[in-house]
Amino acid sequence: MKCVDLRSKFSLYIDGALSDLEMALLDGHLSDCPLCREELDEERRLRSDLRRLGRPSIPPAVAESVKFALRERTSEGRPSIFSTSVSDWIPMRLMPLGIGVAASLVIGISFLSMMFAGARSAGEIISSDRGRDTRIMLTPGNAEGLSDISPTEYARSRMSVAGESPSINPNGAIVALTRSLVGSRMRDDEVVVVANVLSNGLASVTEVVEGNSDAKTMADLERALQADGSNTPFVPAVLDNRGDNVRVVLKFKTVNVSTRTGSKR
Amino acid sequence: MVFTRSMTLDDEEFRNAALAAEPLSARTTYESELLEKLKANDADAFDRFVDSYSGDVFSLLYRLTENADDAAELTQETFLNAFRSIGRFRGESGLKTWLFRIAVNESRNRFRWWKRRKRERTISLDAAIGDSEMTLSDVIADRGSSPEDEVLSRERRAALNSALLDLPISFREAVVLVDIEGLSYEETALALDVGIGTVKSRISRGREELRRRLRDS
Repeated sequence: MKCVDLRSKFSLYIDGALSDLEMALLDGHLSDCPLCREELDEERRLRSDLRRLGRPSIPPAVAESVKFALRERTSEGRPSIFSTSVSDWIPMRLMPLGIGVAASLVIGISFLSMMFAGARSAGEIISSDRGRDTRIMLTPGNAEGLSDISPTEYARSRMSVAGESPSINPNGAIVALTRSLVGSRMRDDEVVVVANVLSNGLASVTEVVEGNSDAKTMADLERALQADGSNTPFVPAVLDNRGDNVRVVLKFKTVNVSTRTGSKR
Repeated sequence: MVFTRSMTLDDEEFRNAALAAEPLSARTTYESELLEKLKANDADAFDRFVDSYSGDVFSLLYRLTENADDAAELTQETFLNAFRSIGRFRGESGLKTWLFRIAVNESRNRFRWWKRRKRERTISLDAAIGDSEMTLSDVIADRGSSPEDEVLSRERRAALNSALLDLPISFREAVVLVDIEGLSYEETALALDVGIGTVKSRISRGREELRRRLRDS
């Protein structure tokens, strides 16, 4: 057998993965062929160096975060439906914001209505403002009751951040859209668009970062952003005390919330 | 003259030999007990589960993605996926091998995700991981600081890393599992959901490709 044929077996040879017969054949050849011995040494060196390449350690915070996420999914010690893990989960998946983007608005649509109805009163919007990210959780329960809050009241409740991060209109088309998305169980993972929010509360998409495979969903979104009258997607600029033209990243995300009997996704 | 096959045992091989020498029944009992508690939704068991295997899973995912943030996120996805599937796990393989199988699938999904978006990824060893102040260099240098490691020069390490990154993904998966994570061919076959013959072929061709790339670099 030629050297080149035998060399193709060196990898398995050094791992001891050849049959006894093949091992004996190679041993016999190696005792006579210095070039193949050299080649074999190079193969051994590669394997040895790979093993010395080092295995990265997991950062302690990552391991803790995994434990925390799992602990929440077990039956004990789950603090609440809008737990830290859910709010942590969203920023982890935030797309890198583009240059010049003033704010990002993440709208998580939860698919768990029954428990939620007991946990939160209808009409409540859960929002968390931190810096320029705004996360708003909409569920069937609270989306239905949003009309109980006036645009003025809602904008007032988030006055400290509204200058940079426009308030959605509780009676507007985006809220109505999320209600229909909940009903249709938005299949794709997420929809992310960059939009300009104008002074009158209307908005226009400037870039689709992550679309939805269902063209109707995207068309509905565009329509919702341009719905006028009392259904404008955002409150007028004057209520937010924000600029006339604010660019936002809008992210629609299905947020899956664990139940007491297991987890949904 | 009688030619004898030379054999060297480095630290890694000693470690593997020690593991192999450990009574199988003891390991099986530990895993069986843990598995039973995991299936019973025992929160403490899940902590132990993470303590025991998250380092291995992260290390594998880091090598497959070459991105610490992705590895961190996919480690969480892997464990959450394991949590959802643990009821269906029948112990066909060890827990670690089973987790590796999930992790490999997660990394493949992520790879497709990036490919779909045609994103370019740049990797800097000085990049911070998430919100932490740690960098990739810190993370990698943290482990395996045996004298042998110090012998591996920075240039050789960089060349190996670069050659690994260039390997077709199917070869990289096999080489990483066998040569870096220390799995047997059988375990690798289970983790990759392929036959032993395929693992042998991927290892041979993967190492051959690595050597070729190292020679050309």
